[in-house]
Amino acid sequence: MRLPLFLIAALLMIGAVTGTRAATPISACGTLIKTSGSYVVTKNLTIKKGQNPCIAVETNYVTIDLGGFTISCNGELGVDGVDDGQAVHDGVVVRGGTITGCDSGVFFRSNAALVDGLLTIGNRNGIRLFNPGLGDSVVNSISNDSSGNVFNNSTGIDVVCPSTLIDNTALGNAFKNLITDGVAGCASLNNLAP
Amino acid sequence: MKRALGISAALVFLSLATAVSAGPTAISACGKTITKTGSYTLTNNLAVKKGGGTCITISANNVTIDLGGYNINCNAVANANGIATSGLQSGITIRNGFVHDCFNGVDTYTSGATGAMIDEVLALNNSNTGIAVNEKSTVIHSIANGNTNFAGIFALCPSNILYNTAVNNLVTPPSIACPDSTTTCYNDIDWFDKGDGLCHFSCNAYDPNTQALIFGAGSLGSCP
Repeated sequence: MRLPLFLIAALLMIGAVTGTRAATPISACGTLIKTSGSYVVTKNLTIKKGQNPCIAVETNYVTIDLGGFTISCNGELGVDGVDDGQAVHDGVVVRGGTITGCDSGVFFRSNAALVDGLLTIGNRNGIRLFNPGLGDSVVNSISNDSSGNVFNNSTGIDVVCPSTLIDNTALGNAFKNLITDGVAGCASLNNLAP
Repeated sequence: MKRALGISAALVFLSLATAVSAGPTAISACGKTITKTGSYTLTNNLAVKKGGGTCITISANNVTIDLGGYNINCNAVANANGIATSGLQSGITIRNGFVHDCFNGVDTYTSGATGAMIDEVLALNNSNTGIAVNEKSTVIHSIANGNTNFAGIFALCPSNILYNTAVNNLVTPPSIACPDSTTTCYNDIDWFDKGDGLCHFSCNAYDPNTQALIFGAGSLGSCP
């Protein structure tokens, strides 16, 4: 009986000393984010019938770290990997993983969206940031088609200006590799997107 | 024997706890003053309470704050900054999160601190300036939109202001100190509409209408 008490005490002490708390885990598609904060995907996620999108952002100031995992939409038409339901929120970050087989890998109308280190492969559209008039950024990302997948990308990266596009690769997309829509004012550098 | 085993187990866990504690120091509430060099990380969203001041004050050199993807919300409390230095500190890094509805989102400028690294900070809807730094600093991959009374990003030269997005801010004349010949303001979107029919820019920026890179500060035709 004493040993378990020691163990419990020690474990409690570890928690108290470190004091850290991980980001909120996401372990399945169909996740609705209604609270600002930091979220991390903890496994590969696959869309099940009736789910859309895999991860929905429904509030301001949200960071989603895919944790190196993959979101797969199984080629379901109209189903996005991560989107905001075309509502305009302030501040959303998506980074660090792969999205495949979706209608749009990422589709935001929100203000100040930042996409960093994201691979969107074999989606109908890779990364779409459609906020009218407020700035977004796509950096260090790849948005290519992928033969053998259900969709061929229509567009790799498609953004409304003003936005900043830096160090991205967008190749082999059926319609265009990179589009800057609407008014001018996008900053674009070191993109491989002929 | 059982007692000895119990003590041994506790000692093992204590040493584990000590080893784990070598990680970043957690910050879980506003009102924090950092007085020791080191690495700090947010463990949740932080909010300034009514009557509160700056959420995190840095009073030591060589401090890294990882916002952990969380946000600092100053709730529009008067003169409350999200993160600010208190003096002439150097070696400050702030990264990976949001600072919003503050007076200044991140301010290492006012106290005179130099050499700050601001990386992937989204400073939105602050009432004065989104991100303000002194010379020898880098601001990279950040977004500073909707900072209503001054600049999205304010930097003294020489600094590197790289690959940021800053729109829908207001800069009251005179404009920011950038650029001079020793500062790189490169591939930033940095323009703002003051409501006077002109599109102003405060640092080397892309012309919002032609996409040509403009050097210097000034104004041109209306913003899109």
